[in-house]
Amino acid sequence: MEKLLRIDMGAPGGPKATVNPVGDYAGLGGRAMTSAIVSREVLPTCHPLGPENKLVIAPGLLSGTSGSMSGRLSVGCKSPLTGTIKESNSGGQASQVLARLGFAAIVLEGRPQGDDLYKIHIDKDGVHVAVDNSLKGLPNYDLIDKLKGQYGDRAAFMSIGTAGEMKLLTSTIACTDPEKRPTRHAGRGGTGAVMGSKRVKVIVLDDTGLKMRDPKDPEKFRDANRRFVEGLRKHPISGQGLPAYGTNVLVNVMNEAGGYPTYNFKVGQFKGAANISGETQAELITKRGGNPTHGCHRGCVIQCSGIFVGKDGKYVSKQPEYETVWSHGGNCGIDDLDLIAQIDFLDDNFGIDTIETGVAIGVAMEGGVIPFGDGEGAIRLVKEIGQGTPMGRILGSGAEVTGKAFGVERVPVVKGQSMSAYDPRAAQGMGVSYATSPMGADHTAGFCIAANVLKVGGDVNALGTEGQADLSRNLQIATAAVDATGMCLFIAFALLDQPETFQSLIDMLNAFYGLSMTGDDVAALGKKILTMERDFNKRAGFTAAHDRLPRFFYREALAPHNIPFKVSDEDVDSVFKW
Amino acid sequence: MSSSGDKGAGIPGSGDSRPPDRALDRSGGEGRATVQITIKLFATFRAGRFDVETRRMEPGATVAKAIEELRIPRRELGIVLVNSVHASPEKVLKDGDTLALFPLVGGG
Repeated sequence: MEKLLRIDMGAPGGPKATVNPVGDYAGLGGRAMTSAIVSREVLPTCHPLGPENKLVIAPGLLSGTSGSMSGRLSVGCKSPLTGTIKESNSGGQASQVLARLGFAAIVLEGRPQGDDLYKIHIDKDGVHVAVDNSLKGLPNYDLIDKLKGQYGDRAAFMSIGTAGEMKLLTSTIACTDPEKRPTRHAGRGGTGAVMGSKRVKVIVLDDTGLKMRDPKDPEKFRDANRRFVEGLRKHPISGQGLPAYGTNVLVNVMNEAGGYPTYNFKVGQFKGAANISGETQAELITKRGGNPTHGCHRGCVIQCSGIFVGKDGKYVSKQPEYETVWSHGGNCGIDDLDLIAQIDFLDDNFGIDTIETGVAIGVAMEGGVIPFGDGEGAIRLVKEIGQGTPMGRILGSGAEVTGKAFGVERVPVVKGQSMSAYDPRAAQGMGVSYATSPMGADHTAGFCIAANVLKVGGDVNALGTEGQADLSRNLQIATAAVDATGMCLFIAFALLDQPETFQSLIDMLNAFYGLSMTGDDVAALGKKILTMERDFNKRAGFTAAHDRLPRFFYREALAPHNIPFKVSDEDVDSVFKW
Repeated sequence: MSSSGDKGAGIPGSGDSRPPDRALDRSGGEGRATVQITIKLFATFRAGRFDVETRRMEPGATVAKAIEELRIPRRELGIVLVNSVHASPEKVLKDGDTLALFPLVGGG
């Protein structure tokens, strides 16, 4: 990963690719790389769809190695949804392949004139950028079906669906899984619209003829990786819960804890929760001959994903994730897993964020467009997004725009990005992370549910205010650092509970790069990333006033606990004081 | 002990299908009022046990007592909620309480 690929899509005479040494960005990976480039090179006040914005795609520090769990990819830009800096993280094969191709980052710059649509193909022989207008208007599954036979077996695809071509604010960049399905997405913040604005439909990455990246100290690396995998397998969450039930195991937990946002964040418990729980989903998938235990990329030992099949045993979609089942399920009053899986497929196919889309539909339901619980109506609305009807474009612009269009006050967003499946009133720490993350409301940025509800990595009373800012700070720092490594965030449960597993990750980094980092260095890396991101946002015009939840969370108490969001502004503002 | 036929320590009155109204403990023969608890189990805890069951327990029975009777090893216990609020093993269960038990689970 010693090279940086820049493609100026707006160069006179057509797109121009330049390969340079990483230079000043040496030693960075994943989110550290994307946020460093965006904060340094992108004009913070630019329009996200204008030529001044850049789309940065970076594998993590350990991607492309034999290290387990190292296949997460960071995609960065100025977000068209939030106006903030964005790092959207995806699984799938792309990160491993891009790292083996030797690239620490791809930077798409500028904007071409005209309507031509481009395909970028990168393999060991070089970078090829070509016009391919035959790809116009293809949804992700159709696109990959058309392309996959043309490239080697090891090819990984990053693509935009119809939503990205329309530059919708909810649009994603899809990454193919090991079976070449476009099921893993850089979902949040409208990264697909930025790729679409640069007229790039698909990036084909093919590492045929290339090997795994070599560690500086292979023996130490192998040993550290062995201890790392042991630690993940030993921990009940990464070793048992996630493989067996997937992320959707959280339905029952959040519902029982009264923090499952239902009917667009009106109440904290959903009567139909048992019908869409992880337990029910895993049983259904197994009974039908699907697969509830699947890895989104090669080298994953947790295997939290799965394959959802219909009554006839045929593929419907990937096993919908917890947040997807929530956004289209309880949040919309829908308790039908088959219907939710159909919507999951449509979301992936059009290339739209399952969280933002479900929350936008919930807001539309509140605005009277269709009633809560209307599953067929929800499918119709999602199809309208794919078709680009006026209604579809409103919904495809996310929850905030939808709320404005339909006169709804209860719109659960921060900095224009929707919250997900954790009500901040029943898990107050989560509210602090939603409010303060440089990404807008993002549960992954500082997953306080761990200590608030799951009682992993600490125990902080979910319903109290004490300790929430400290919890959010520490988790945001740790998460930023993990996002730089290319590691899946689900290693964090074992890292938080087992010091020896945390040490094994540091040992992997040290053995690979010949470093002697300590835990303190990891924390310093996390702080450095957050500081760059906050600095970009400040220069883009964001202040403490933007680090707040919507007013209704402070005013409306949530059943069953009947409390509003209570953490003081002063506490919230202390998160980045370290 | 449970509707699935596990031979655990018996709980008076459990496993029958009477409606969950307040009832008298008939097994002890002393006519003392017992407390009625709804127990919900999740994820791996359901295997060989049950999903949801109402049971009667002696007054003063704690969360720990309920867990012991279910033969759930303490080290496997992740989340304990009584009426949707996290609870310690020492918490005394009251009539009408709902006890929800999860192994350590995570996602997100």
